[in-house]
Amino acid sequence: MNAQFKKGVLELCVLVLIYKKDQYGYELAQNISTSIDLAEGSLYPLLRRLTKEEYCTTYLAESKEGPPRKYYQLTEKGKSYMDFLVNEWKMFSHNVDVLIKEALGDE
Amino acid sequence: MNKDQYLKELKQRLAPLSKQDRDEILFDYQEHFDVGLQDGKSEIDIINELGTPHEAADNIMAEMSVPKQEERKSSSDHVRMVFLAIILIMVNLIFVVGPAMAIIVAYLSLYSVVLTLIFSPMLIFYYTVIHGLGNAMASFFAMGIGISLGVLIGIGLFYVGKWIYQVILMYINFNVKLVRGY
Repeated sequence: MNAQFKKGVLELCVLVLIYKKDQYGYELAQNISTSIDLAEGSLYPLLRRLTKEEYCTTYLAESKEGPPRKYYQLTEKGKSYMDFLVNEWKMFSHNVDVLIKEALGDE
Repeated sequence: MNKDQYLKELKQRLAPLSKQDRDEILFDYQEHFDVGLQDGKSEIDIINELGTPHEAADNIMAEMSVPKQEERKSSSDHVRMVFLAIILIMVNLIFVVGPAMAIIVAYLSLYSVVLTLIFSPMLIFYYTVIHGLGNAMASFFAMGIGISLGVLIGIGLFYVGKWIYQVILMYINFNVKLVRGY
């Protein structure tokens, strides 16, 4: 799949997942890679950008085993950006569906 | 390649970034390794999932260099803009509004000339009708000149008006751009 396209989808998935609950990087990577084949190397750069643009904030929390983990939390700004992207996605995928149906429906 | 080598190479490739950014990124990758290892993965598995340090560094650099969608104007910019706006308003009130009004009034008064040129021959026509046809030819001649002059000047004025309108728009745009600073 087109790399640029995948990047945009990855952004949407990350926002939706941390909207559901605060998660740390590894957790996010696992949750996303169950549905999408993802180069996990692109996840951390993305998380940094989202933090920089104030779509999410981070905090450290102790874990039962091992070192503290950095959790990502969606901000209000991030929430409205997520709503925007979800809407875009719905329209986009709907239009593609219609297009495919029209093109392949006659066969 | 093992975890330490991976992190070391990543660190080298991120050399152009500030120390703070670099440390934060390495912390994230360190955490990813630690959690992955606890999860029962091998270092090799984790590295394969992450992609090479080269790819990771490229991705990071690409995201870091993304320009902010909107440059925020600093408060000193706002002070400058308000100050400039006040000065511009003063200058315009003192030096520009007066002459501009004079030009516009002069322009409008030219329309009354046009109206006079077009309609005054009607009076001559009326006059000749009342007082006989003695100098009918001269009257018609005067009428012709008056009306054609009036129409010609009227058309000219129309274009001059358009031009004045555009000049005024350009001047307003120029002022707005000056205040906004681009």
